[in-house]
Parts: sequence; C-alpha cells; structure tokens
Amino acid sequence: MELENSFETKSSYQKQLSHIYSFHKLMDENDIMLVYCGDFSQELNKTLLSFTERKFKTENVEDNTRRKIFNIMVEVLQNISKNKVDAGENIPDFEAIFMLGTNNNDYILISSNLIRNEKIAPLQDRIEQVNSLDKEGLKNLYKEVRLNASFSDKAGAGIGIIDIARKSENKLEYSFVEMNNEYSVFSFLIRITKQ
Amino acid sequence: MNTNFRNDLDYVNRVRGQMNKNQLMLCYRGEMSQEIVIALLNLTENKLNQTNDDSTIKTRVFSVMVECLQNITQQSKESIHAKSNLFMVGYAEHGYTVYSGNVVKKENVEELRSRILEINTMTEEELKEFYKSLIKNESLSGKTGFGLGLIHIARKTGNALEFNFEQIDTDHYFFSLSTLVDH
Repeated sequence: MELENSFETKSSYQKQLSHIYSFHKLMDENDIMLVYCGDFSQELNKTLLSFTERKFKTENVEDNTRRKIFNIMVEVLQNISKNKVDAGENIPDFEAIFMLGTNNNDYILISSNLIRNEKIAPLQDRIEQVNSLDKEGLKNLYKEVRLNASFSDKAGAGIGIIDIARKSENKLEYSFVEMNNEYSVFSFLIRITKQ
Repeated sequence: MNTNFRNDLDYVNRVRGQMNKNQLMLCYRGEMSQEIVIALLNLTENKLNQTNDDSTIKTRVFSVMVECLQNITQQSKESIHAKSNLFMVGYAEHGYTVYSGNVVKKENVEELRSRILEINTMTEEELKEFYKSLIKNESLSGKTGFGLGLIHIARKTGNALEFNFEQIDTDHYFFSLSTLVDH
C-alpha cells in the first residue's frame, strides 16, 4: 500500500481505505478476531497470551476451556519461535502469522510459519499419529514419550503436539507447502470445541 | 469455518496476502472494552519497542491508538454491530498507520463526514481553537462526541485524516479511518 501516493488523489485513498472494509469482511468470513504477523519473541508471545486471557475473561469463557486455549496457544507460539529463521540466502521472504477466532462451535487457533524441510517428516508423523488415537491412546503416548524424553532430547520431540491433541480433543488440521529445497510453510489449525 | 482444511489453508493464505499487501502487523476485530483496549495497547507497545524508532513517534502512535480505540468503544456501546469493530496497525514508509473501522448509523454519516473534512482544512492554530471551543461546549452539554478525538488525532499527526464510508445495509455504514503517523 503506497501511502505517499494515496495522498495525491482522493480516489486513490478512497480505494486504499476500502481495503479496511474488505479486510473486515475477510476476517468476518471465518470469525477471526485477531491476526498478528511478524516476529514472535518471548516478550511478544507473552503479550499475545495476555491479550487472549483478557479477551476470554471479558467474554466469561469458563476456566477449564480458557486454560486449554491458553496451554495450546503457548505450544503453538513456542513452535513458531522455535522455527524462527533469520533472513538470508535461500530463505523465502515470509512472515509467520498467528490467528485467533471463535465461531458458534469452536475456538480456533491458526499458525503458519516456515519450517526446514528435514523437520517435516517427524512432525507430520507425529500429527498423523495423534490424529489416529483416542483419548486413552493419547494419554499412553504422552506418558511413553515423556519417559523416553528424560533419556534423550530427541525422543521428546513432538511432545507439544501430543499435548495440543489432548487438550484440543479434535483432529489437528495441517498442511505443508514447499517453498524451495530447504524450506516449506507449515500451517496448523486447532479447534477447541465450545462447551 | 470450513471442515475441509484445503479451504481453510487457502483462507490463511488470503489473510496473509492482505496483511503483506497492506503492511499490517496487527488486526483485531470484535467488541471493545477497557480490558481489550489495554491488551491491544500492550501488544502494540511491545511490538513498537522492538523497533529502533525514536520514542517520539512511538508516543504519537500510542496516543493516536488511544483516541481511535476510545472512539470505537464509545461509538459501539450497546450497538448490535459491536462485533464488527476493527482496529489495525501497519507500517508506512516513514512511520506507522493506525486504522479503525466501525459501523455507524446512516443519520450520523453526514455530520461525521463534514466534521472530518472541516478538520482536514484547518491549520494547527485553527485546530487548537476548535479543540478549545468543543471542550467548552461538550462540558456544558455533557455530551462527548468523536469530534474531540478527531481533532486530537489531527493535531498529533499533522496529517490529513483519511476516511471512507461503505454502505452495509439501508441504515448503516462501515466507517473506516486511517491515520498516518510519520516522522
């Protein structure tokens, strides 16, 4: 959006401002309430979390659900931070994004960020695995991975995903889109059903 | 939201596309309350603090935000359209842009439009005088309008207020306001 130019003629800034309305409609389409784009530092994650806490407290969302949303959000934001890549050669120009929404049935958390291609397989396997399990199965998997994680760091990989699946109680939705031979975009959508 | 993630993903991409195209960093849509306003201010403050910009521009962005948020909060009180309130912050070439949007009644459109156009033609000195006269009138009538907030924003930024009205049904318009805060 070229603001400098937009001052030149009235019609051009009218056009630019109609973007605000179309963005409103775009968010409305899927009941999105918050979109954040940029870097996810620890400080920023904290404010995003506190925003969500305040938002749901004012809406009188019950404690149990609020805790679930909070815990899942912590995992999601950590995952974005963990995969942070600094701009450089062969790195696609891409900003991570986080969205929060609520419709009649669910609270929805969406993240989308770059991920190194070699990390895709273990992550995808883990998501497919948790999606195939029921509540009891997830509990057992969690215990098992926790136990192994105390012996090696690697075995604990993806424990966040199990945690998310347990709290969401819905199938996790995801996609990977390859950007180049090193990086892909990982998009992740988590629902928490309203009670 | 769609249960088919292919569609959902397409949606994520469309949102990202719009965010990038308009250089947005933060968008909030929904009801405003004191709590939400504080949370949004915290979020933006945190974000701005990560940049190397000098504190003057940050302070100005902050005060424009406060005015916009207050204005939306006031205008949407008890409105069935409160869920449509929109607040966004984005980057501009030499600063930031603060956007706000909310639904207004048709009968208020003309007043709002002429008020903004009036403000846009005023010099700094005239704005100051106008501000004073409004404060007097409003404290007498006990009515607080958006007028003060708009003048405040105009004085803070020294830029013209950009606005747009989009009709959404026979009785309502979506009012967008865009404020450039630059060096």
